[in-house]
Amino acid sequence: MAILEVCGLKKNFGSLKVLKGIDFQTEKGKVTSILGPSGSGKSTFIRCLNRLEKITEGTIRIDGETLADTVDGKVVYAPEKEARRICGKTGMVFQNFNLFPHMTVLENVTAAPISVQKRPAAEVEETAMELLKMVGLSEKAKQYPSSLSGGQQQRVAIARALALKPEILFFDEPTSALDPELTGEVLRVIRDLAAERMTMLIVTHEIEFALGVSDQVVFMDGGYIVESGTADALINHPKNERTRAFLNRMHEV
Amino acid sequence: MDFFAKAFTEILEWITYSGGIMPALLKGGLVSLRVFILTLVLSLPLGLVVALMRISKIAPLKWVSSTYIWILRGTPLLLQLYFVYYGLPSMGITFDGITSAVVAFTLNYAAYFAEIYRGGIESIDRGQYEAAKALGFSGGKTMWKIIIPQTLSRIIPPITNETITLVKDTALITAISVSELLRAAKGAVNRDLDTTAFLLAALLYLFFTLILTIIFKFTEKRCSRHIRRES
Ligand SMILES: Nc1ncnc2c1ncn2[C@@H]1O[C@H](COP(=O)(O)OP(=O)(O)OP(=O)(O)O)[C@@H](O)[C@H]1O
Ligand SMILES: [Mg+2]
Repeated sequence: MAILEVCGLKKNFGSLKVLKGIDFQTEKGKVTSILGPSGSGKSTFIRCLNRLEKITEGTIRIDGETLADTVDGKVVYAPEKEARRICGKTGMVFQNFNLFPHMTVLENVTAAPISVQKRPAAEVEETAMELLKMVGLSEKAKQYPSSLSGGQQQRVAIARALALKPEILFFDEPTSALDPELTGEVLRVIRDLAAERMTMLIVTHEIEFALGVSDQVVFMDGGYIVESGTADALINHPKNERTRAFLNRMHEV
Repeated sequence: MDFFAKAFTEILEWITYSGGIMPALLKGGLVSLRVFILTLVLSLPLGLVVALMRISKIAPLKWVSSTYIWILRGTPLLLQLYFVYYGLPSMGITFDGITSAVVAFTLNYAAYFAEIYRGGIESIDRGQYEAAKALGFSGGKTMWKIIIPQTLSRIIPPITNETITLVKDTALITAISVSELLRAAKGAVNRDLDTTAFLLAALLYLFFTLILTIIFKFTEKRCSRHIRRES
């Protein structure tokens, strides 16, 4: 069953057409990487999926529930509370981590489960400690984010997103803000999640990583998905001219 | 020898005199303190309401709040005090001196606090709102649990400054005949033709602002535990 279904998604910023009609879907347990040149709309696409951007046209369904639909050319979102519950099935990891600086690592992970999902604090803390252990940061639980390295902060951000038990996790260039020597520790965590069949949608420039971890690779350019397929097919035998050009450029770097 | 004995008697006399006028000064000081505390307790939350209106997306709220801030910051506090004490009665609203002072000061300081809060809130990175939204926090919870706590370490220094100004501004209410600290001191000076009372009043104001500075420094430290010290 499709856990995420996107049909005819368009997004304009004023007169700038950024997404021009995206059709996409993915199933439970699948890992999808999104590649594409800068400005092609990758971030905008995943930001539309959890309402960080309001869409201009199209349909978004998450786990069978309609978050946004277009009726007579007008976008209709689910009512605020419904929409928040549906988006609650998604988690997001940002390029700049966006940890809450006034909270300890543990509080960052427990804040939303406790005050949004209203789960009991004891249970949440136990889960949070397990997650921190999984990302290798249990001994940092009582520290504030400012005392952590970028790679450590990003791993906390992943634990924070997982604490809400999402059905699908979005990553927007999770390693782009990191020093090269710190990307490995973050990619390792994502690989572990893939091994556990976590459904993920990852915008990344790490081609090798994408090739290794993804069931499906999507190539975006100019507001469209111009090609998609298995990692091997897309990266080693791209059909589309633009995909080829992009991959060649990436290999040169 | 004679000189020292004389000096000693003079100091003794001065202490006795000071002790004599102190109760009247302290009584005035308590009035000032009361106005100060009431103003602070009322204007800090009112300022937050004004600030939240100012940054809200609802145009009329924004407009009301900007006008409010513009008027209250753009006219002298003393004039606002006169307006409440002498002006409002002609519209059928009469307050006694202390209440007038608290009303005028609260309205005035709320405008200044609102701008401080707004500055603090606007200095928070947009990524914080996005992370909160992605985690399912509602708008209200985002403000209370994520945004406002982060502004504390930044807004406490300017709030300290305003608060110390408020201590000194309480002296303005002598203009509407409330017997606060300055008026009590002036009374003693006029009666005894001795300026000691002014000196004592100055010491009381200083003592009070010193205590405030210490309290705020402590609070600021507590609110910025998460900020790494560069050292
Ligand atoms: N809030 C916004 N307002 C106006 N234009 C925007 C906004 N966000 C993005 N854009 C524009 O939309 C286009 C796509 O941006 P987007 O960030 O989605 O690209 P991207 O594929 O993620 O690029 P990158 O690889 O550089 O992150 C760009 O031209 C960008 O300038
Ligand atoms: Mg991007």
